[in-house]
Amino acid sequence: MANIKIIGLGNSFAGDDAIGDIVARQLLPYQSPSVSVIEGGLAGLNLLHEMEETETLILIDAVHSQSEAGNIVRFIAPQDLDKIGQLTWGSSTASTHAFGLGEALTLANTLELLPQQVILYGIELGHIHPGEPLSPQVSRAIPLVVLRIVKEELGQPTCTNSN
Amino acid sequence: MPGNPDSTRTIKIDMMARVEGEGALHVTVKDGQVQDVQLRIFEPPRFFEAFLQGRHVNEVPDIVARICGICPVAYQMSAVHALEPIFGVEIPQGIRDLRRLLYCGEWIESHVLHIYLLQSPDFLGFASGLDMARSHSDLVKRGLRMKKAGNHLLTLLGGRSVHPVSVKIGGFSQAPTKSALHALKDEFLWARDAAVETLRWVSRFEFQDPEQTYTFLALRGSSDYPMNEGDVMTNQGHHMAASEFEHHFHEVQVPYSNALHCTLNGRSYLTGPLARLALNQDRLSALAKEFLQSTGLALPFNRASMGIVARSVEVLYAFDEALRLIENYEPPCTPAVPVTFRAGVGMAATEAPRGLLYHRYEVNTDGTIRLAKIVPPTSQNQRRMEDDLRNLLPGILHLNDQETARKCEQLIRSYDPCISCATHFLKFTREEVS
Repeated sequence: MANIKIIGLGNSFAGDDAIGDIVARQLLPYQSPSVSVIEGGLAGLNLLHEMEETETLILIDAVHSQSEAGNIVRFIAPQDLDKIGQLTWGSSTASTHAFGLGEALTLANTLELLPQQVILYGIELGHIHPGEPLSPQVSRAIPLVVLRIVKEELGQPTCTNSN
Repeated sequence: MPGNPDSTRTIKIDMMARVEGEGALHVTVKDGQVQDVQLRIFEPPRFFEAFLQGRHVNEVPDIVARICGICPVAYQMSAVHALEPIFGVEIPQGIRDLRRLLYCGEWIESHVLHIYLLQSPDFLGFASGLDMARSHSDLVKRGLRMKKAGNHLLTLLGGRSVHPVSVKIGGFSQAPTKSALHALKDEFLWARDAAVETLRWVSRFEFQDPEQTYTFLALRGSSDYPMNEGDVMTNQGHHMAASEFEHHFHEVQVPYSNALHCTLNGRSYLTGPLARLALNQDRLSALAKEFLQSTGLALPFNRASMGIVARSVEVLYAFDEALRLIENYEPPCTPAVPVTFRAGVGMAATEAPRGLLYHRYEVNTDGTIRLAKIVPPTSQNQRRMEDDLRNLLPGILHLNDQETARKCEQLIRSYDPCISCATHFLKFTREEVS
């Protein structure tokens, strides 16, 4: 049973909104019996199903908060739920009839389904133009987020061949 | 607040600002009469039509699965069914059954989300699904457990729990084992009972929106309740193959929206659960028929709000049908039939949870996409939503701005369009001009 679950969120075909899935792919080498990595895409409420049998949930998504593209923020739930709910998350915008990330986490909290530890990394997006590559600032954030998750959350040295 | 009878009252309702696109409801009232209703809804699929050009057909199922987190299977199914006839591929029954089973999973997931977290709060007086969860956690947990059962099917057949990856032209990249599918049975038996309870629960709601005169449009096949197969039919006598869809249905650009409106001979029509049920009630399973009848509600349902009942009937049917398919399952001898690419044009329509989803592809000799056309259900229903609002508004114009917006919002949400997630997606402003 994996007790740490890492889920990248966002739309792979919508410019910088791909960042969550890309970071998840870069974290695949760190999978182990206790760490699983998922490209979650537009998971919406499916996040609630993924929370079962998980002690630590680490989420990565693009965020739109008027700061500089590529800026990295880190939140924890349920403590930061209000702040999370006030921001626009990439995975909530590309498919507008899905439940947004803030709503999914708030619902999980209400129903007492949140894992012991929930950590959310947000990377400020520059653009979400379909079919266009990541903006340079967001590209540069990828190794930084990967490094932080590996060192700070997993407590592991980084793989030498991973980037 | 009603306007001065001699003045023009303009009700502008802007949707919650999103990073991209915008939507709004714009209502003009003069002398107490609704003059004009303009609904704008942003549609992501349009971007994907251009994005698909030049891609190889093998990439299409994975790309279209990413258009939407709620109905990836619908996009995949319409795509493969449109493309396969170009290549002369005949899909064996075993693979067709697996595709139907996968579609059951998506209907369950999408409908249960809408029933339990989006539309029922409107009937029970809650501001949102989140609010309802605070005082009805057991109810919401029942919905989530049902939804999860549908998600199991997506995980097992689609290869992952979101944006399935195993669907391909010709079939699947792999087929599940018999034992893996049979392991779902106990949970599905529980969920089918829960679906009966769900139908009982929603059929007792009060449906207060005005009765409409709908032109219903849905697929209708030779025997089964429609998902992947069947001709396009209406209750006005239209009957055509999906390949003829564009001869009868026309997309029109309206000046106030970036979304195209699809019309039938210039008029609105309705696609989705209400239409499917109206045209295919005889195709339901015996169990679904029995419990639909026990609600005492007569078909066809002519109120948008009754979509919640139609969805509940379809959830019950989908669990029942999934159990039948699981029970009869024999792994196909090959998960996918071989495909040789060639140039051509192909069209197909399948029944997405929220209505008919039409795709047309033109393919080059090298197997790349020359042109893709996607007509999503929300675009087809948009004109009908405006007509519904036109009928609803005279009865609610005496209410204050907030209440008027709330009633309009509820009606739009009952369609389960691609905007219904945001519980308060209508931001209300009003302008009165004398």
